[in-house]
Amino acid sequence: MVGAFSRGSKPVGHSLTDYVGRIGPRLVELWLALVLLFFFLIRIWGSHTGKHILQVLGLG
Amino acid sequence: MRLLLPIFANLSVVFAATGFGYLLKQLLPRDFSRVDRLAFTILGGLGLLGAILFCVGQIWFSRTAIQLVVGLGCLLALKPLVAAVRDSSANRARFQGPAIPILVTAIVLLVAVIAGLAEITGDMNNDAVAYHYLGPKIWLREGIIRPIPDEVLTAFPATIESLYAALMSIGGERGPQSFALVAMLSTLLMGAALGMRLGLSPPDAWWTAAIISTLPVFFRGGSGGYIDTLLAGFILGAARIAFDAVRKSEYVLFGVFSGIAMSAKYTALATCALLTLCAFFVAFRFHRRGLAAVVMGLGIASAVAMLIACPAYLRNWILLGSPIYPPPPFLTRFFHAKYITPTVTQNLVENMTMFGRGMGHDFWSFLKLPFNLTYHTANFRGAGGIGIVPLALAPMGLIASQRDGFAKALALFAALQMSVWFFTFQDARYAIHAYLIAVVFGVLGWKYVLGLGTRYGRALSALVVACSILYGLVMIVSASRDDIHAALSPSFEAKRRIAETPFLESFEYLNRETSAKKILILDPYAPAYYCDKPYVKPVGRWGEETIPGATDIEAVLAQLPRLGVSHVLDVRWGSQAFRLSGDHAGLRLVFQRTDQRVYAVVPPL
Repeated sequence: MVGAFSRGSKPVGHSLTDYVGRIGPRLVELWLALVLLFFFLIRIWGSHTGKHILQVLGLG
Repeated sequence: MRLLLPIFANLSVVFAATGFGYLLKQLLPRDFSRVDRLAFTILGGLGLLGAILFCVGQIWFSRTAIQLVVGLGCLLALKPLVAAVRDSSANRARFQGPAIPILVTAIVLLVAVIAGLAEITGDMNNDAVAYHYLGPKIWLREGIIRPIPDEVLTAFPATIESLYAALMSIGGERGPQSFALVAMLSTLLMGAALGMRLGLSPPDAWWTAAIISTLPVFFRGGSGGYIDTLLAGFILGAARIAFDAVRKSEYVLFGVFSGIAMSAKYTALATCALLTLCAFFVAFRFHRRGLAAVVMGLGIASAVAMLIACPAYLRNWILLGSPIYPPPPFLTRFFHAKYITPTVTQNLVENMTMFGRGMGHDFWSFLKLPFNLTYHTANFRGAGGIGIVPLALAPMGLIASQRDGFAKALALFAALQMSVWFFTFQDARYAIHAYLIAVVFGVLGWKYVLGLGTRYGRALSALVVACSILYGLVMIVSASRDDIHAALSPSFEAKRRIAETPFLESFEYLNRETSAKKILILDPYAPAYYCDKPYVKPVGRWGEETIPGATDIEAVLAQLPRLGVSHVLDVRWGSQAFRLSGDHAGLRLVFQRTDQRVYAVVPPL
């Protein structure tokens, strides 16, 4: 640890870039999940075709 | 035979288009892939064939003239075809691809083929019946391409409608219907070529094709007489070459595709101006080329584009007084348009205001546009939707390709195009090229998400693609169900014809009655497309007045001898009254069905 600080670098995994690097993929996943959620809410449950699909699948 | 002729007609036109497209070979950059070459040859050929037919049709549009032009194209196609056959027999074992996207694309194209073989039905709300097919049918009958006085929209640029006329001439009235496959396939090729230019591998290009083909708006814009999908192919071709153009020949090719697009639809005028702007930006900013060279190249492209597009605009200027006809309000200051009444202009403006408002023109609606277009496509004049890949994955594609100048130019063009579309006429079909660009970025984004290596990211992105494709397939198949049924079952087709064709009995009577030489159709909304004989419609559906001085029914009837009319068709909608009530001197009722009457004109003793 002393050696690492003595080289002037921050502890691995705690820099801003590291945070962004870790949050980025989570943001992407959140975005994709939101798009899918709205798709199911609006295009499937909220439409005639969607209701028909759900009925065919036994979910209507 | 009813299905073989349209198939033969389409094969002939594609073959001829390949021949004319082969003329562009010298202009193609040497580093173009095989997919690029194929896409540019077919799309360029279709555009050139349509443009040539349009020009020839201004003076001579008989069956012979069409066969000569198509025959010339077929002759030109022999050499590349022989080369392609040799090449394919040598490379047969090499063809490999991912099964799922190939299967999906094949299903959509199969639906397009079968549904495209169905006979057209419908009223004047169907644009094909109202003008896309009406024009070609009458041009063939008259032997010349001219705007039809009672349908002002037949004065639109008609490169694709000229192709429809050729298909109708060779393959009958089903010919242009089955052109859907050609329009979709050629545009899919261009979409795949664009994806490969942005770094997608051949399997990824197949996924691009699968996602594009399952966009319901793509299917809608390419079938039933609509020209928007093929137009998207021309525009993407122009973009593909414009943003990489360095040599003069490449600028010429950019001009060829821009010109073809402008000769197909007025909306392409603004699109091509945006393309030129973006091409200037990319050449100057990213390729670091000198100002003089860029201006010179774009000047060449603009000159070529104007040369190819000008016949349609010159024809309108000479015959109708305005290059864009019907003229938009700002153009009326500079041109005096003939034959157009204030009623027509007012009706068109009202139509544009009513149907082009989408979900509003305010700033908040602009910000919400990606969301609204994805989830509420029905509010943009239907067309079935654009899937969820553009919204979900295209932003990641933009991030992934942020260092690529070509990608930046493409994204800039799509953004500007959507802005223009938003502030003018929000019809989902008019921006298909922008959705296709978004899909290409979507596939790039999918690869980017897979590269992040997170388990949920992989699963969610795969689910997005699967939902988009499956939902699109369901929408496309369900919308085409009746067409497929009609194509496969002559009895269902006959039933559908009766149910969906307004005043069919009268049109059938007039078409088979040998004494019927020229028909007077009194109702503006009676679909004249179904009339096989020459006709006169005193008032069109937009308020067009085709007989000078004949503003009421008595004035029209007074001109019957001069018009050479043999029969009069009078119809009514619902509870409306007939236009001819009671007995009229000089007219004898010869045919009557519910809401429809046909009179024979009795010559004076």
